[in-house]
Amino acid sequence: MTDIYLDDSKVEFEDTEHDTTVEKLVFVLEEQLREHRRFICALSLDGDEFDSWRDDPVSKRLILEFNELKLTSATVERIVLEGVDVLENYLRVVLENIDKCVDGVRLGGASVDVSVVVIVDGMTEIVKTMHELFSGGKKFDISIFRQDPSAYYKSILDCLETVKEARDSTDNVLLADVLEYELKPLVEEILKSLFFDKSS
Amino acid sequence: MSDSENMGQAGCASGILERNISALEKKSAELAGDLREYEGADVELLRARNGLYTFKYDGRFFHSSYDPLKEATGQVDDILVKKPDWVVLFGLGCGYHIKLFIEKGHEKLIVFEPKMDILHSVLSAVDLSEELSGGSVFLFNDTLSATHCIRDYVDGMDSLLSYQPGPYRTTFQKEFSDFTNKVQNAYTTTQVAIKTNIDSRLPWIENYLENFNYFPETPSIDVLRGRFKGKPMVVVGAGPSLNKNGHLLKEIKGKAVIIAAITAYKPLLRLGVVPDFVIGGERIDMPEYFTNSDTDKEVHLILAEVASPKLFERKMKSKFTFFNAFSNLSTEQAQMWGCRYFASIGGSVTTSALDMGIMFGCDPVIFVGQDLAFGDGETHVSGGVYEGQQLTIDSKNGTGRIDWDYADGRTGRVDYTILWLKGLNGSPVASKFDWVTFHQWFETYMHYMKKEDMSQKVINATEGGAYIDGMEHISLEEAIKRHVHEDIYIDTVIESAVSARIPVDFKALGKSLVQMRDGLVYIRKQAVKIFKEVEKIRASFKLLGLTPELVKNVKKIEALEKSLFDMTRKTPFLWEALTAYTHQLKEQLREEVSESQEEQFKVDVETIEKTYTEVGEMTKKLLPLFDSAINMVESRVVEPKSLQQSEPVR
Repeated sequence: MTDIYLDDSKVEFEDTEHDTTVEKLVFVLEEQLREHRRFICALSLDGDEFDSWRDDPVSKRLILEFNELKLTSATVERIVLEGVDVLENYLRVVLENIDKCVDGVRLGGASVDVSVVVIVDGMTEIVKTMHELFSGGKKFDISIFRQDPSAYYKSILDCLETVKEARDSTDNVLLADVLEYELKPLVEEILKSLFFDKSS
Repeated sequence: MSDSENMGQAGCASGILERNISALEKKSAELAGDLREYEGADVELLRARNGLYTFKYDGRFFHSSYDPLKEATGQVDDILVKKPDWVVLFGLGCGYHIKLFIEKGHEKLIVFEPKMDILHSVLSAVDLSEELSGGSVFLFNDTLSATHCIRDYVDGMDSLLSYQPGPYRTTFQKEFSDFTNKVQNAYTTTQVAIKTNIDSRLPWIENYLENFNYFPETPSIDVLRGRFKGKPMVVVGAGPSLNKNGHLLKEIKGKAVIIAAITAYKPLLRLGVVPDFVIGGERIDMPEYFTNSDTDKEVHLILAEVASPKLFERKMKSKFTFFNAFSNLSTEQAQMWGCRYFASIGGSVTTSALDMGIMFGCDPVIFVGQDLAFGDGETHVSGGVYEGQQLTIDSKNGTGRIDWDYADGRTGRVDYTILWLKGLNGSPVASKFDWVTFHQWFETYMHYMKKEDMSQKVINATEGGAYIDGMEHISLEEAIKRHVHEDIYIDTVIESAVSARIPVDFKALGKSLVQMRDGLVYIRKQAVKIFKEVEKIRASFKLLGLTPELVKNVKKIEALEKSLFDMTRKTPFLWEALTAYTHQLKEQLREEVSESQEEQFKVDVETIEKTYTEVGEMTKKLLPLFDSAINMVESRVVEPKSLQQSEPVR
């Protein structure tokens, strides 16, 4: 028998068929939480905490495999705010990586390839996250960004396409140019125009 | 606006090109000529967002299309942090780097642009005439000239940093690899040359003076000038490949002039070939190179004027001397000995032999055993003094080791840094610094022959080792088939040539020697004075420490040094004799300055003391040799009978 807790309160859940997975349990609970504009935001299984459990294979496992499941919920607003914070921080990390990568490319550094992958993968994730946050916010009628981020998608994807072309043709000058003079100003612009001032 | 910011301003293309070419003419005349005659396609120069030039080559940008100047500034700053004495730049690009280096006060630059179309386009659009006029800024389009420049201008003690912008490295990989190897090889040989110069200079002078006893009876090799016109000559080196084809030389005895490097003499005899000439320049006696039998008496020996006197004593058929232009003693006195020829010296006797063959009028000159590279586990042909050498090459770490265990019981070991040369089949072959120097010399010589339109053919019939650009590469069998047919009466030619020898001018020799001896006496006196000053300083320092008065005393030494150097500069031989000591001082100046003023003072005083003690010893050693040479020469002058004996029998 698995003990299930939501926000430190024990939840009665009957796994009659012995086939309930973690994912299914979360789905059922979130259905109930939705009307309160809350979502599950953290998961602990037998004392082990999982950050990105929604994409982890652990979510496919049966709950009966565990003795104790602890779930924590949060309001949509809080989840969104945290998501926006992560996004903003990640954009700043990308900016730092752009500088490192440009220096590496122009001065012949050794770690250029790794930095480029980090930037390209990072920006792809950022676009996906911006889109999800923006769509989620719309659903709950929350103003997540100061403006619709989709206006930037094309420019970002165009930059990433040029980065790919530059890498394929081993044109490092073009690569550094795109990163320094196109992607970097774009990221700076996104940071400036998309996010609300936290002090206000 | 700074100069580099002005780049990309429109100007009259032909005017800019002409200005650039004029600036190049003095230091890169060949390139200047090529640029004037260039009729090929140009590269399209594009404008970056800030209006400056950039271009694309093979689909890649070579400069930023936004701000090329900012991009180049970062790169130049990154290089200058490393404080190199010289920067070797692979790729001119649009000239941003060259301008920035000079703007930032770094003026020792060797720039190599591998592509003529880039060079022509850029020099037509960007005015670099001011930069290219700088005394130590060089621009080349061929690796040979660039490597010459390194050998001629880069002091072996200077640090050299090679830089190549990314697009150049990516786009011109083959040229880059070739260039890097050659630059590395040239730099290494420059460093080695300093060492050889220092180690050998004094023994050379001593040998030269001792050889005064033999020179009167040893004609200069240029008595044979033009005497073998159109006849084939074979120059035999002691490379491992001689084992493969050396036996073929038996067939051509008496039909070609065979000249063997001293190291190849015994291996040749083993193959059944007695060469006509053996050429050597060893500064120490090497009896093991000879048979010490009647066979030696069938061979003419050609010796450098600085070779060991013991070699001049050997019993051979006859002996000849060749003079070197690198020795100031020789350049001053060769003519007095009746010599009108300085052999072009490439560091090896086979390089000198090529120059002599050309001077003799030989055509073709055929090389065998000139591998200039290690063989399969061997360094030399078998049958020679190096037979006991064992070679181990560690290609991964780029090192080689030679262990030897000679028949006479001598053993030893030496480690090398492996340098790579292009092999006969195009693949790299492992070599070492001295062979690389010879290789560079051969390629330069061939380049010169081509440029001067010289009709004599040079064939490399070596069947292993390095490819020598400019020579024809065929097998020895094929070379013999094509070029060796008629009999040559070598001894008759030699006899006739020697009988026409130019007489020795003993009077002029005597005058020259006395002047040099007086200079040495002056150096000795100055050295003694300096030494005494140093002793005073040392005593005072011990007593009172470093006082301002003591520092002033050092000025006295500086004044003595100045007058010594002023005097020696006027006499090239004396300056040359001081080479090792000036080098020692220079090396010390380059060392880190000690944090403590007292410590530094002590180091300076010790260096000065050591240097001038050695200078004094050098004069002590040389003066008796000068006296003896002067006596010999004077005896020839006052005894007309002896003088006549050294005169040719006409």
